[in-house]
Amino acid sequence: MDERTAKIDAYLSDSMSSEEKKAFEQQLETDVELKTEVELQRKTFALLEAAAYIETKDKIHAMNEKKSGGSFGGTLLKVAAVLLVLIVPSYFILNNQFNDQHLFADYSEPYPDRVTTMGVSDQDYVTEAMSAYNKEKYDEAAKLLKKARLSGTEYDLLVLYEAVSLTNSDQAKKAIELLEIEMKNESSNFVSLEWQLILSLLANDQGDEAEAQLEKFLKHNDGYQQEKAEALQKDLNRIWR
Amino acid sequence: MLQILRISDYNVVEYLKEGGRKESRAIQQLLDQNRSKISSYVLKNSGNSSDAETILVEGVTELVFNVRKGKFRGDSSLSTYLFAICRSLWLKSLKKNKRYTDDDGIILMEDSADSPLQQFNEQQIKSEVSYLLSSVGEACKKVLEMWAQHYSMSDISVQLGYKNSQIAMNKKNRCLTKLKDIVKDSASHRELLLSYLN
Repeated sequence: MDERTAKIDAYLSDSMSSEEKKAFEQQLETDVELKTEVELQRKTFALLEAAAYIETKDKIHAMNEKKSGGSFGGTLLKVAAVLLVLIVPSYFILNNQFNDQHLFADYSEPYPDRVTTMGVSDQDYVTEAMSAYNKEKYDEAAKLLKKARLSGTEYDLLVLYEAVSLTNSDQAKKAIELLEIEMKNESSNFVSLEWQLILSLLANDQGDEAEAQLEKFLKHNDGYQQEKAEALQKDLNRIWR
Repeated sequence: MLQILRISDYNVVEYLKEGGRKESRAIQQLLDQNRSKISSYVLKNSGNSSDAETILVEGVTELVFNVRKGKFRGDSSLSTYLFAICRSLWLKSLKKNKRYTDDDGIILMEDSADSPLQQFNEQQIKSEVSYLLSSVGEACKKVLEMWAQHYSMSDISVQLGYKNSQIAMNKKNRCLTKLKDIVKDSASHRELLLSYLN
């Protein structure tokens, strides 16, 4: 019975070879039962397709409503939109319009300072950089950490701090480039770098890339940020829907 | 920092075929990038903002289906293609409401005639299909819904967790046979189908 359904489907979707089609049509001329079933299957599919079309249209309508605020072009709406932008706190706007960045804000947590506390480096740039980092002066920290890196400081964790600083000072793209290069070097901090890469991708509105990276991360992760990573994966699947 | 990454036309097409979150992102981009152009066209041609919104949503829906059916061949950009669909839908709507005088030489697109929506009552279809699919079980419902959305068997197998597209195809055929039997056994469903689809 399923084979018959499959054959009719192949006929209706025009995926038969010309010989098969010819033979099937010849059979249709003489087999009344088959002809009735072809008609039934065609109509059943047409009904399912119509429902699928409506469902897709409803989904698109909802997405459009969310973005356009229900209608477009109206002067009143434009005035209202301007007022909203002026009045509503930026957090609210971010929350509704920039979902990837909102996720970044939710999941981002600056990597704790292990340089100063462990007394790893007494180099001026690094000390100054970590001081700025701890005071959340990320732009300054990023510049100083870059100087330290270019001057040859061999402490690969610094790249992580530089990436966090760049990401938190609106330079997520630079952070991504830096992390991608560092991750090729078999760093002992690979997992931390990878987690930061996911966050930087989110900050840069690259949700799809973040999702792909997160999948890899969860496959080989040894427990680092496990709960957060799993929660983030769920959230990434939810947004845009 | 607040920059939105633009998806290329090639990727939009791939995302629409793939479904899921990426598909939603592609649809959002289509809406955002074409809203003002479609709006401006409808407003200049006897429409209001509500008409423009309806046409944009219907146009994007039709584009999504055409892409999945393989009707979009990439001869033009997606924006140009969407504009042609929307223009055609709008002219058809004007003709239907007798607000259009056919003097500007614009030709209607053939594809628009295929829209299943133009023939049926939406609420009736939704409730009928919902009732029918509730009778075939959850797994069958999902496969048949995706099949009707014109997703490929390969994408269906990935999204629903079947080992390969052949297994998804077999499942779809089993479910379709089941659904046909339900329709066959119920005179009321048969009559409804006939009334919708003759």
